[in-house]
Amino acid sequence: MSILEIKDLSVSYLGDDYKVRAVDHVSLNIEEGESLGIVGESGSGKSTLMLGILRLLNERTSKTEGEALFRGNDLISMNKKELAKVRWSEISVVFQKAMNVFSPVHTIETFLSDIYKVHRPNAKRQEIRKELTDLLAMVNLPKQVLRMYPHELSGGMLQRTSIAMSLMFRPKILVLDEATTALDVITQNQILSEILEIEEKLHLTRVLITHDMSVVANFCKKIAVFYAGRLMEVGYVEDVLVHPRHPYTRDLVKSYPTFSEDGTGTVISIPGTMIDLKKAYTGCPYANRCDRATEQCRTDRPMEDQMDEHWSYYCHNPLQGGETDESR
Amino acid sequence: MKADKMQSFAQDMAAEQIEKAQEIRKSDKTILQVTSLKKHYRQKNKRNVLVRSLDGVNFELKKGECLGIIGESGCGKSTLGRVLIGLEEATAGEILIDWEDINDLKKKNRKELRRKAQMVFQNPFDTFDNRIRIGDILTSTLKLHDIGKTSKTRKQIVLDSLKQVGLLPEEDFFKRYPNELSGGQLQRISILRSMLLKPEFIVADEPVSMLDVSVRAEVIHMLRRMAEQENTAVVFISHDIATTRYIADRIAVMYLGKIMEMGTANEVITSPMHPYTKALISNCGDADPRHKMEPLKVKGEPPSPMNIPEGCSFSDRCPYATDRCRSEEQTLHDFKEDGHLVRCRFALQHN
Amino acid sequence: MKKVKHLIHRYPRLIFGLCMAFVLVIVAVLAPLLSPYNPYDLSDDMMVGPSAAHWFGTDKLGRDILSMILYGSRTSLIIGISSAMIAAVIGTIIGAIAGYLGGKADLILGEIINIFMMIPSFFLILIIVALFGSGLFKVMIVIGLTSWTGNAKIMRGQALSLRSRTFVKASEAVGENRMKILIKHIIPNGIFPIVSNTTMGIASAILMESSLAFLGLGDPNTVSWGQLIANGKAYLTSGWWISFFGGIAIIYTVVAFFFIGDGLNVILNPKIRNVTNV
Repeated sequence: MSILEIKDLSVSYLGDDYKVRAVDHVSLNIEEGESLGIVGESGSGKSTLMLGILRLLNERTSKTEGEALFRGNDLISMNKKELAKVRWSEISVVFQKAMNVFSPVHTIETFLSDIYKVHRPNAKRQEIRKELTDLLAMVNLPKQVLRMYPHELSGGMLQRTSIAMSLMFRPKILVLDEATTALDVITQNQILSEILEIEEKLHLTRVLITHDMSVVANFCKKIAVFYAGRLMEVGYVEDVLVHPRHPYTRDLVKSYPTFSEDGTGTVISIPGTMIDLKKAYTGCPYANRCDRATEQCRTDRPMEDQMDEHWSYYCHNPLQGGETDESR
Repeated sequence: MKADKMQSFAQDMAAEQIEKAQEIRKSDKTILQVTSLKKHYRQKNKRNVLVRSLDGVNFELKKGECLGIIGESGCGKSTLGRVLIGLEEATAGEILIDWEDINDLKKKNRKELRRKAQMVFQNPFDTFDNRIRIGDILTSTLKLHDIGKTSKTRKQIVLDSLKQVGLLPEEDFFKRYPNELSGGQLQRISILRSMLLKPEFIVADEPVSMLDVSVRAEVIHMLRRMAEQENTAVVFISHDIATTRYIADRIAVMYLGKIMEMGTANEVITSPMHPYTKALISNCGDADPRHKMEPLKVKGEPPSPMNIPEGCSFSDRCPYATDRCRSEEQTLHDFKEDGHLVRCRFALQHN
Repeated sequence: MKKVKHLIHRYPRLIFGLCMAFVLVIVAVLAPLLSPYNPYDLSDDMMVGPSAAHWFGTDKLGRDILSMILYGSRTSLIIGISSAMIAAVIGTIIGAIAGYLGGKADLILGEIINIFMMIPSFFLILIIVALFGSGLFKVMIVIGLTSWTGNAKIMRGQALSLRSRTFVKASEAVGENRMKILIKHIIPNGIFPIVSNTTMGIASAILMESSLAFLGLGDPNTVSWGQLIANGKAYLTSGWWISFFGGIAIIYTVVAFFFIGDGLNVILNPKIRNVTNV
């Protein structure tokens, strides 16, 4: 059953004399209990998508069109009061800079219990403390952390605390927007493994937004590849990352240096630069950099093609299921 | 299938590296020698707290060689870069560039030091003053070092080099402003500017970490190609092990201001000996979901360089640590006598 | 036309201020053409109120107030702009050096800035003028020399933050010497707040000049608004127009430059810009 159904969603940033289609008619289904990794480079719209759905963007400088159905209720047209209930308690987001939210003059306990009281005004002190201790335990933090100030905690601990905070009201969907990017690999893997465990326990649906495909390959079931505001390919990681249909997915995988294979010699870069989204264009946004582009790619917008019900791509001239090694 | 491939690949790598090593030995010219380099800071409001950013670093760099320095944030790798090219002064220790002390060089002739030691910075979007055209930035660098007699020849040198690194049409790039270019293009220009001076060595501090994955390779390729062409040595500082391995001949792994392990890139990556290196490498994921990583679990996070643990600095997180590790300082040791240095007493036992 | 409307809508204060200042400059340049009388000419029509012949009336010596105000705009503008410029140059250089070089230079220059800030500048000016006499040029220099501290503080802050930017580090790494970096990168990149501050400085310099003239310490041989007000001081009840129109002129000018400075501040300071335009 899909828990979040994004239908034909567009988000534009409005400038004085221009308009940037940061998210361009994206349709995407997120199933309950699944973990979806959204990858893309800068300017791909991967972060804007979730910000637009949760309406966290400034309404004067941006415009969100389309539908995003959370259990059948459209978040885009919902009134603010209802939305506030969904945000945070049903869908919560952890940002890369989430660790900066903690007030430097308050202990973690004061800060967290204040938030708790906003949503549960009648809660007793004992109850809150127990709840907070449990939360911290979930992310492997000792309860002593409650009595500490933010500056006494390391970056990893702070990010853990903010993840714990986002789980406070047992949300259904947890969005991690580059939440572990700033951390070192070892800490990042520790935290992500902990989240995997929490997910099992709380039946969470997780959306992980990142530029790092190895994180998605290791910690997500599904992957959605974004480029220039459009969805390029979506499916299970075993399918998309191993037998990509879209040339962009292939190129992105191949430009990722790894040392288990191809550690030297074959890392490629994609020639050219991303099209300027301030200007209108026709066809596929990747056409100017793609080796398989045809005339059609420059004129007609590629529509969704499905491999199976979970795997679809948007390309006129898809790869025929070769490995990522298929030559460029 | 995969194992085969890996092996043949490893052999290729080894052969290539031996060849390279021989070449280096032939020229055998040490361009940079660093001996017990230390850089300590004092905190502004807590003057009694000593931040030991670099705590005794030793290595040498041969002409044309590329040394990768990897480590997590706060391990002192960026400080090392800045100290190496003289942007910051070391607290103790010695840096010899072409057998001349860096401090003497600095006093004698700062321009000469700059001509020998160059740097590429992490943030290409901030490396250039946005008010000045690319062409003017590059030609003024030439003028500063009296390369090219007239402004016409300087312009020609710049145009030629732009063309050479594939920034085409070069006349166009010459006239553009930095904010009109992409990160990858800017970083290539940054490398170009450093290489215009034909330095003996160049420090590249996380040169691709702020770039999109899809343009990283071209920047690295360019750096490697230009360095090879001019026989320039490179100190490649990065937290990204896969990228570093891709460019480096040798790799040094840093942790809390010390080199924990150093050897040829191949050795360090394929048979790491220090538990920390093992942890770091095993935690690096692959974009192929068929190779799930099996991370070596270590406890906690790196302690701050303000209170480095006694004994081995990794002892408080190391899964193999014994009481001896916690009390005795470890030294870099060449266990196999092949130039693969490890700062761990038990390195051989874990393998 | 649409563009103009858009500009006005977006930067109302700046455009308004610029229009006001433009009028002022035109008036100053064309003063001899616009003035109905020579402001230095005495006439028999003494202490005449506003009338068809003398729109703003005349003073006790029969000089035409309108003409005096038109000519006085020259004095005010010259003094205002020149002394604000002097303050801008001194402040920028001292602030940039202190912020960029840091260390001892910052310590010493910082103290100098503090000392100058603590001295009550108006009394300093009074003393200097009293000692060395007054004159357009001297007044200009004196005002400039005493009002640069604000600029220095701003520029110091700018230089401090620019110092850690990569392009400054990169220029150092390429081998550029510090003086050159200061001139080529630090000052041009940090100058914007100085520009807006200087425009506001023009307004306060004009006020300062008027105050000096009012106290009789201005140049007695040039017409100035402050002087005009001082002259009318004794006749406030019988000839209100003598001081009144001078006062209006000062307010007009000060408001004009204040609007420009404030408008520029909004445009040039990204922090404020984001808040107001989002």
